[in-house]
Amino acid sequence: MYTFVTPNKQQMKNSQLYKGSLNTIIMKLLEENGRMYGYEITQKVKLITAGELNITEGALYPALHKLEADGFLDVEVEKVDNRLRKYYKLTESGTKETVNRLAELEEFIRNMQNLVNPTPNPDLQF
Amino acid sequence: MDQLTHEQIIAVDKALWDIGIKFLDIRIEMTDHAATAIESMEEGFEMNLKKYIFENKKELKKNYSQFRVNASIKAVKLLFSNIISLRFLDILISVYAVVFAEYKYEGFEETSSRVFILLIILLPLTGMYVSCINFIKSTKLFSTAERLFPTISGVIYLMFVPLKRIIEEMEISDSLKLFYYAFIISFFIATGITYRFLTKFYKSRYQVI
Repeated sequence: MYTFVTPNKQQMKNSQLYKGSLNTIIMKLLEENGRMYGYEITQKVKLITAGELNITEGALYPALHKLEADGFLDVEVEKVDNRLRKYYKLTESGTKETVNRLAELEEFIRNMQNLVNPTPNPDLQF
Repeated sequence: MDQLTHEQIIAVDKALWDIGIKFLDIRIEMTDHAATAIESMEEGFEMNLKKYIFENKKELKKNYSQFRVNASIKAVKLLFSNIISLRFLDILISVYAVVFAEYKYEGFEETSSRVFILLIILLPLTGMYVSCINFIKSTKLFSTAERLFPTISGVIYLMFVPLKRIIEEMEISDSLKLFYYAFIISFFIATGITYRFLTKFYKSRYQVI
């Protein structure tokens, strides 16, 4: 299982690959789902990745608060099931930023794929 | 397990307080997170709560310490954005007018010592007031508002105590020296206004009376 907080060296190596993409993951989920609360985000990620990726509180909330401080997320607080719940949703600038970040991430994945699994260049072949 | 009752939510909130999560704004979010996680667990409430806290204590504390740092940064950013506002300019002009009137009437030495005494009294008094409020409302403190005064008091102290002597010994006009005094007093007032604004904002957001 890949986690952002990692008890052993192997997991730490894997988690580093995800760390840089955490904000983009959050923004993408909010783009698809409208508004979400913290626990819901962790569960959604777990579900999509079939339990491979587990976002911990120590990684998720600082990222959410940073995105909020940067003006990419808006907050709504509502009373749900005997307690207050903080929902996050994308602002207008957050929506634009999501598009940019997703494009950037796709480009990164394409480049990584080319580097890891290069297709032979036909111009250089006999 | 079933949806948690009001009393169980209070128990979750207290458990988070006990491990050091003091600010209400982050505790509300963490309480909801923990409660939702506990509701999805199998055993009874007491066991689930203990298990959750035991397994996530490190992460919760890490989140909280990051949150405290961000709250201080946010407080300073907010204050400085207020300082470059027209409202601050209004305060500065008004304070300068009062200080200048005092200077015209009493002279520079007297005005200087009065401003010094005013700030020397105001700073610890405000510190005491904030500490008392913090003590009384210890479970209802909001991060950015609470971090504002300790952070800013340090800035004001640095601006006033070491700089005062340097500025007074500089070969500049009395008007400029008075402007410096007016600026510090205005800065102090702006901090108070920002504190009030933040407290109101958080109270309204988290529906706390």
